[in-house]
Amino acid sequence: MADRAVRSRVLRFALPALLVAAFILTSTPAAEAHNSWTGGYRKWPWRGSDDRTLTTLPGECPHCPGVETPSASKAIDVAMNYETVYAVSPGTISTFSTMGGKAGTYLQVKDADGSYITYEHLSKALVKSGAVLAGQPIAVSGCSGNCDVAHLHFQRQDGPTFYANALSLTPISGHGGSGDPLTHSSYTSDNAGIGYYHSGTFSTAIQNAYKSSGGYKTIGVTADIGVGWSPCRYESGISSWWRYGCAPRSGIAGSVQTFYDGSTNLERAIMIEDGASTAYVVYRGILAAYTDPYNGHDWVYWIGYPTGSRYSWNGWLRQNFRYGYVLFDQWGCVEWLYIGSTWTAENHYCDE
Amino acid sequence: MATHRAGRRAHRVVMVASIAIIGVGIFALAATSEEASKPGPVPQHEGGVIAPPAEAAASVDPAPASAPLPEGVTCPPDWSYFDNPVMHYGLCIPAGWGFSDFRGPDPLDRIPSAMLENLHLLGNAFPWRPGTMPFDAVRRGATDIELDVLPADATSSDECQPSTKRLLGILSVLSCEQLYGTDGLPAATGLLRALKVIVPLRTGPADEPGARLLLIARTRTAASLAEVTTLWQIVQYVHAY
Repeated sequence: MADRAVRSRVLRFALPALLVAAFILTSTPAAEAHNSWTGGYRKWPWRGSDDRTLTTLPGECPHCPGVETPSASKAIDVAMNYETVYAVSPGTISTFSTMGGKAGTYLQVKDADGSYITYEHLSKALVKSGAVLAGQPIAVSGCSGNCDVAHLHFQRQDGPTFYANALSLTPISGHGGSGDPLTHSSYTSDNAGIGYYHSGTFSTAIQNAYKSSGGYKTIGVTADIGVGWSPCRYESGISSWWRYGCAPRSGIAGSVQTFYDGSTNLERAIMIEDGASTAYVVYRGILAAYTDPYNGHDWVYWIGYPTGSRYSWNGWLRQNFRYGYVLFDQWGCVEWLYIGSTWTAENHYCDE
Repeated sequence: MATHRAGRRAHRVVMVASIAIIGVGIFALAATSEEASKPGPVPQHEGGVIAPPAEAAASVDPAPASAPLPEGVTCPPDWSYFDNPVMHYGLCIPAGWGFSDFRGPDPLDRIPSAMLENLHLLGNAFPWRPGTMPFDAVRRGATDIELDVLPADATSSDECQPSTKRLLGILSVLSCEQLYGTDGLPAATGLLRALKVIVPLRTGPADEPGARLLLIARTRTAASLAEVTTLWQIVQYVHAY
């Protein structure tokens, strides 16, 4: 550890000096490098923190079998009275139509996962073609088509036509089990992507973590930390995408939600292990470790979820995890990863 | 082992520094490189891509369902006049007809501003029974005229396109007719018919340049000649300003 500390101090002084020298030599400001992943998912298509009631649930009339077309059998109706509709996923608008039939004015977005997400009975569309981002305002809800009161009809399907097969909304709503938000109760979307419902243990823990970090500016990706930053899904079920509940390995199930800090706009993540009542913020320096593969898996596979917040420790920052810990030298931009108490790997990321 | 690791670390320091120097030079030359250093999300600001217009529309006062006739504008006897200040058109409304949000039995006296780009004008439908699906009411004899904003470049991808030109007095419109099956989708036969008419607007909504008025008049397929004539009269008396 002492050797490492010396080396860290070398890095602390030598590296900045070399960087400054290089900067002076080139005499030109360096362009800022940005992350370019354009993904990101939301939980629901309405504004976060708003209460909304789902007035028609999957399978209920008028979306019931024999009455509704196949693609709508798992749809929901949401009480939205001429309000802004937000895209829940990144993708490309496959259809904008001012239909005289049942759907009225509608938008359909081809999701990055290959499914089609349809927003119906709109009063107007804000975008009609091209790419959309998760969280982008895309329309205003309304009552076009066969609509008995202003609302948003929201569905997923496996093809672009109304005769395509309906897809479940549980990857969007949560786990689909007991306490899933797909109920008639009024539901406040935190749009955080994690949680069974807004007052559930998961969601409360996530919200507390957001508050402790000073709030968020933007919600990023809810990710499967199994391989890269793909949308969340179980490893065992390739066809069933679970964006909001990840189980990369038996024994370390949990979820991760990236976000941008409300005051600094720097990338952070909140992680929570299944069954835990507290979620923890993971800063960029340590978060970076999770996207680096080790023995065929990302790091979370080996080190598990955080069991505490980051804290100062012997001149470094330390965060403990179920199967190890990470030390971070914020001046040298170095992370040292330990499985148990054994130094196993290191990464080089600054805390931004 | 510790010495070996220290050696590797020293090499790494030199390598990192060299890479940093080369990297800064490349950045200085390229100046605009945004190559991803690591997968991760791009910040997305909720509501920041496009200003949500629902809130903007809320700044407009509700429109009265019946307004005085502007100078030079006429309506058939006993019909009332409605002015849409968001989309900038006026409309003559037959006696007994009215706008509805489907929440109550009677026509609306005032139209909330948020609804002005997506209106339902109903005939032979009052008192309205809340909870009724409009298509069911139409099949039983009601008429539902939906008045929507049609963006300049919009088409209906899955049903008839209003392309038949028709001259109504000084008004030139495009129209088409479409039948719908029991599932509410376009069909060769069905009990429900929609007359779709595109009416040009002079001004249109402020946030949708070039937009037109789309009337979708839904009736029974077996609607009487008098009912169809009334629909065309309503179209004819649209006053764009």
